[in-house]
Amino acid sequence: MHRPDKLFIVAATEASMAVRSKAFIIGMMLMPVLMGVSIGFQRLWQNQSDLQERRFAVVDETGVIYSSLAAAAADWNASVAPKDGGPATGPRMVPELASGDQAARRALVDRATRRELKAFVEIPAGIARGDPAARVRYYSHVATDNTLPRWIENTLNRAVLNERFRASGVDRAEVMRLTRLVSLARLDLPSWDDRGVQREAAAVDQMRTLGVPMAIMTMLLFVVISSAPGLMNSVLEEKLSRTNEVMLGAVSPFEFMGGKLLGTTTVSLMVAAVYLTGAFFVARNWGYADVITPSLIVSFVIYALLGELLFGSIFISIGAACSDLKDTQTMMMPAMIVVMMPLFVWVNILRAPTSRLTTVMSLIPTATPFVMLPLTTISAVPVWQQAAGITLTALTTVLFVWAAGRIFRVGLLMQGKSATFGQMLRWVKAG
Amino acid sequence: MNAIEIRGVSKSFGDTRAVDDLTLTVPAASTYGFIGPNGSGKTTTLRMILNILLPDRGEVAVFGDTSTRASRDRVGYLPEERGLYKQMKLRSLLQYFGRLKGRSGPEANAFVDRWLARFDLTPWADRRIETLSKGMAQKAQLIAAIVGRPDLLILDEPFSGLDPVNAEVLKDAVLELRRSGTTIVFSTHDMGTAEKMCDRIFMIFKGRKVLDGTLDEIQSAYGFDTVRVRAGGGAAALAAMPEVESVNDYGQMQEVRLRGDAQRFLSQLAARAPVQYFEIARPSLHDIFVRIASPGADHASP
Repeated sequence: MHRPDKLFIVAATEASMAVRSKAFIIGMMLMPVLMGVSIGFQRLWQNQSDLQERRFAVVDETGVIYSSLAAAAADWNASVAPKDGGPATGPRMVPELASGDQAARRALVDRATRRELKAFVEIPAGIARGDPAARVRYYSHVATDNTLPRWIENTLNRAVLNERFRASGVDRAEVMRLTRLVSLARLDLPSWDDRGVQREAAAVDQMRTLGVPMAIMTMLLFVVISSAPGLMNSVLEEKLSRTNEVMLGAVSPFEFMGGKLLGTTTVSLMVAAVYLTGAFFVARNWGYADVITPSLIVSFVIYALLGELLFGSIFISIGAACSDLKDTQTMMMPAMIVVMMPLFVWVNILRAPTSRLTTVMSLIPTATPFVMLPLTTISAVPVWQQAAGITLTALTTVLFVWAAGRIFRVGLLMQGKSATFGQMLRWVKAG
Repeated sequence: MNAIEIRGVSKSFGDTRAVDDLTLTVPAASTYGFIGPNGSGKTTTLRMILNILLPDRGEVAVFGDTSTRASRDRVGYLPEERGLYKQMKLRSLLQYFGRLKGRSGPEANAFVDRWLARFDLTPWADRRIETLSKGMAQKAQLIAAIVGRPDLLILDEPFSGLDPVNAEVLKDAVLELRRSGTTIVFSTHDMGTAEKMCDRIFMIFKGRKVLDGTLDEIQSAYGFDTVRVRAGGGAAALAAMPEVESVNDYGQMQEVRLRGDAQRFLSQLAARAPVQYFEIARPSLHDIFVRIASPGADHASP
């Protein structure tokens, strides 16, 4: 008879040791803090840099474009200027006309070097005629600034097109109307209320259809990957430090393994809860709070639990079967490939959520936790499919934990050479 | 009531038979010494008693229960290869083992504090295990083994690697447990310790039981075939004597195993050199161990 109380004592101690470890503290506390600081710093920096005046020179060989550019800059500056006592909303654009001879060009380079100019632009004459060889040249010492070149490019495009239409005598507005592309509005299926009135179908939201399932799968993968290999290392460390035999004097191998598995699973679910809470606030900030429903949270916990127990038992077996770190890395590779498998076919799943491939993937026990839940957020997954996925995964988890118990019992005391997969199978059979 | 009953137990690892048809009874409240050369099957036997390993054949009963798991809380174990969670603090670790052994929190705490004080470890109670010296860690390990107040304490090489002071502290602790009724089983390579501390001694060699009994019974089986002698010229004086089977030279004294008569040997020796000390004795446990386990020895019988 196994003693569940011992299993829980081991689990509680494992969890307690884990939450006091540097890895956990960094993962739980420091990472969100660092991310927050990083985002805040980025925003602050972005505002600061964007408000810097962009002074640039224009060498206009067309003789007609600069005036449009200067007018566009004036409009832009008026639009970003501080209003009602608030701050400016963008940088001022300050173009100045320059000569294109060698001496003037040298002077522009000197001014750019002295940081008096952000850049200077050369507009060749052929650009107004649509000469395919003609290219606008943008010179700058700040290669990473995209704001100014993007503004110049957009503004120039408008000005040059206007000039070309004016020169050819064609009505631009008419051409634009005739060449306007057909747009396709992607909508959800329409529905009707109780009175038979059709409701307005909502537009398909790319973030909702792609971002949300991807985020859920990533979080589930993170929960498993952040803890299961750690379990393997912990077992190996106990083997190498001979702590295992001391423990086996007090608990059975199954109680020991079960406790470790349960403790680690508890910690990973704590991590998941923290990140899920964070995800909720992020989702709410972007207007997607309705995505995180109670049923999604319950399903997330169930799949995270199954995934953690299933892969935890695989990794714990590897740790017990190996006798050095190098061997664990080698044996871990196939297991990691199995964990990552859903990621490899994720694009196909998104494109065809009701295809045979997706259905099969959702029913492979090692992939179910990572495929089924995200799938439910993008299509109506039949109940039988969800039930079959959970049942198969649960049964496989029980089988894996049982097999891991047998491997753990034999492997834990084995020193020297690491076991092969064949030997591990024999241990499972022999018991 | 017997603490341990091993009946016809065999255990193999691959092609190697570690324990071969072993039968052994350890009475309750006794001190039983397990001796044998490295790789003879001692640790495997201890692990089977603890149910860490399962026998291929035969049966092991602890306090009459063949499912040792059920009686695990009555057994304390100090393994030969020692390891503790290095990141845990000493007191927390010992309390953890106390809880695993079914002791309530306050009970385990009081016990741990008492034994930490006894081993002068109180100042280290809130430090991490990794900061302890080897001697301290070994004492901590013994507390971990006894924190459940076991009825049976199994110690695998408990005194190895300890300095004499720490070895003495541990020995006193073990004897105190023995006096309080705990059955002590320990394996050792130190024959002197086994002779002095054990009520009964069991020797395993190549997986088979070759000795089992009190020291007196074991020595009696070998008879008075040993003399301890100090003579002028030392071991050289014993060279090529027909009565001498073998000589164990300790420098200042020689232990001689005789193949013939002790009185005839004495007269032959006296004719060769002045004899300063002569004692007819039974062989020491060390001598018996060497006779059995040395290469080419006939270990089957005394």
